Parts: sequence; structure tokens; C-alpha cells
Amino acid sequence: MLGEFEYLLIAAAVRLGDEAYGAAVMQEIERSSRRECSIGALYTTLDRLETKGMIKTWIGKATQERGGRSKRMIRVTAKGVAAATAFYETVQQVSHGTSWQVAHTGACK
Amino acid sequence: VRNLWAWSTQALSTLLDLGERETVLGDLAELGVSDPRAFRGMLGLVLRRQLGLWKEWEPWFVLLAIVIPVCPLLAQSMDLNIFLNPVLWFHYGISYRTGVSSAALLAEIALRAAALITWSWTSAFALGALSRKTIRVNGFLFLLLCAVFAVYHQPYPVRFAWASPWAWAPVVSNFLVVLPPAYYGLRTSARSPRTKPRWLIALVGWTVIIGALAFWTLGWYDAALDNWSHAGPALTLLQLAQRADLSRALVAHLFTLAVLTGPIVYLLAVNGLSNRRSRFRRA
Repeated sequence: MLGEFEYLLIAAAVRLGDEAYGAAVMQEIERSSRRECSIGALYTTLDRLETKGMIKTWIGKATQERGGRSKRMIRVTAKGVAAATAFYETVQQVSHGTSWQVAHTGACK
Repeated sequence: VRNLWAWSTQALSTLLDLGERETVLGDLAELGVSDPRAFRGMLGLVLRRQLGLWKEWEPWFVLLAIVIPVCPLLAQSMDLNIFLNPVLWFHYGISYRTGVSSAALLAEIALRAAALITWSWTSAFALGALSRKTIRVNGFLFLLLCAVFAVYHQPYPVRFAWASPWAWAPVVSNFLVVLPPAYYGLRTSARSPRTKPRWLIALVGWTVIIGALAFWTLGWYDAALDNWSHAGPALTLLQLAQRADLSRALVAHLFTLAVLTGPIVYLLAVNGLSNRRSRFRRA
């Protein structure tokens, strides 16, 4: 089972397709989740997902805007897609029929 | 302040692998994040990476078997009086070691300095060769502890050292025989930790011999003082060599000698074992 951040990373990488690399994925996660993403969390999660065989990374081309430094390109594997799909379905199933109104849950305001 | 954040981020990035450093610095440049945020991100990544390295047993072994036991013993053996001896000799024409001739005194200092240089270099080299990935952290701790223990073991209380800049001279002179060789040992093992077994055997032999000779000289002073108290003249190097007991000195300092020689002996053992394994695989 994937963690929340792992899922966000895979989803962002899939959306970006061939343009998925460190900085682009980080921007995509921040844009879609509307919260700050740290580079430390991103790179350690990339390593973890690569060890699990859910993504593949390699060193890509350097560009001028990066000060001539290379990119870490990312591609999601079939195993990664399957894990993300399973995670999404689980969240959907768990959420089905759940009312998120505060009064129904009895949560404090 | 802005430059300080950027400089700190760059400095921290040197703790990452070269490939990762390039991609992370490139990402931070492309994202155009603020300098404090870039620093926070880099710090977080470096901490995660370093903590990950300490999940292995090698860094802990190096810390517990080399850094912690070797540093205090090195500092304890540092009390060479490299500074006090020449000052007393040139200003007052007397020896710091009563009853020891100047040639014998010079030999004593030279042997102990050579032993200290050897021990600090071999310990730092073994430290780097046994745990290359954590060489910066363990190496920094090694140098720091050597410096701290050297100040602690100086001939007079630390509070006097603040009285005059000259009061630091004995500590600094002791630093010179330990810290530069240790730093050089770390650099050598960082560049190429692989060593030839023959070279390692020669290094172990040299370390044991020079260590034994250095501890032997510790007994010279007692022999010379005994002679001097009976109104005898200052003993020459040859006379001291005849009177001081080598085996007694070795037994008295066996533990220190074993700890200080230990790292390079262990490196030799590890090297021999890996050579045997590779030969076995080829067969």
C-alpha cells in the first residue's frame, strides 16, 4: 500500500509524462495539493519508490535555467501505476457514502 | 545574509553524492525558491541521507572502535613538550627532563613525534577506508575530539591558556603532530581506500616498532632522574638505551599501544579477508 506522499508523487509524474523530473514534479505536487513540498522529502521518496520498483529514474539533460545542471528524470512503471490505482480505489471505497459534514461526525468546530 | 544562506546550502550539498548534488542544486535553481527555503530543503535531505547511512554497522564500528578510544589516548600521548623543551634549553640552558642529555632529549621527542604522526595518520586512514560514506562525519568527530582532548591534556589548567596568546603555544605545537597527519590520512583514504597487502603489512610493522620505541623513551626519564639524584652526569642516548627496560615499558603501555595500533591492524585483517574471498570466487 502506498503512502499519501508516494501517491501524490506518482500521480504528478504520470500527469507530466515525459517531462517528469525533480523540479517539475515538485511544482506539480505543490500546485495540485496546495501545500509546500520539501526537496528532501521528494528525493528520499523517489529513492524509496525506485527501490520498490514503482518508478524508474535516470540522469537527463542539463539546461541553462538550471545553471547547466542535469535533471533526474522520472518514469512510472506498470507496478507503480497499479499501486496508485489500488490506492485511489481504496480511498474511493472508504469514502463511499461518508458524509463529511461536521455535525454528522461529531467533530469539534 | 543572503550569501550566507547560499554558501551554507552549497557547503551542505557537498555531503551528497556528486550526481545527486548536481540534480538537487539544479532543481533549486530552476524553482527559484528563496535562499532560506533552499537551505532548509538541503538540510532536510542531507540529514535524511546521513541518518540512512547510520543504519549500517560500519559507521558505528568506526565510531566506537576508532574515534572514541583513539582520540583520548592520542591526546594523552601528545604531551611532548615540543614547545617547552626548546624554550627552556635556549633561554636557561637546562633540560626539561632532568638528567637527560640534549641528544637523548632530542631522540625522545623525535621518536614520540614520529609515533604520534604515524598513529594519527593510520587511525584516520583506517577510519576512512572502513566507512567511506560517513568519512566526513566520523572524520570531523575524530579531528574535533583530538583537539578537545589535546586542550584538556595540556600541561597546565585551561584557564591559564586565556592569560596570554603564548600560553596556547604548547597546545598548538601538540596539535601540529596530530591534526595535519590525521587530516592527510582522511584525504588519502577518501581518494583511494584500496591498499596493497604488502604495503599494509609494512605499515603495521612500522606502527608497532615506532610505538614501542616511543613508549620505551617514557622510561628514560626515570632512569636519568635516578642517576642524577646520585650526583651523576646527564645520561647520553646510549647510556639511557642500556638502562631503560624496553619489555617493561611495553607491558606498562600495552593497552595504549594495542588501541592506537588497532585500526591499521584491523584494516589489514579486513583487506586480507576480502582478498581471500575474491580469490575463492575466482577459483
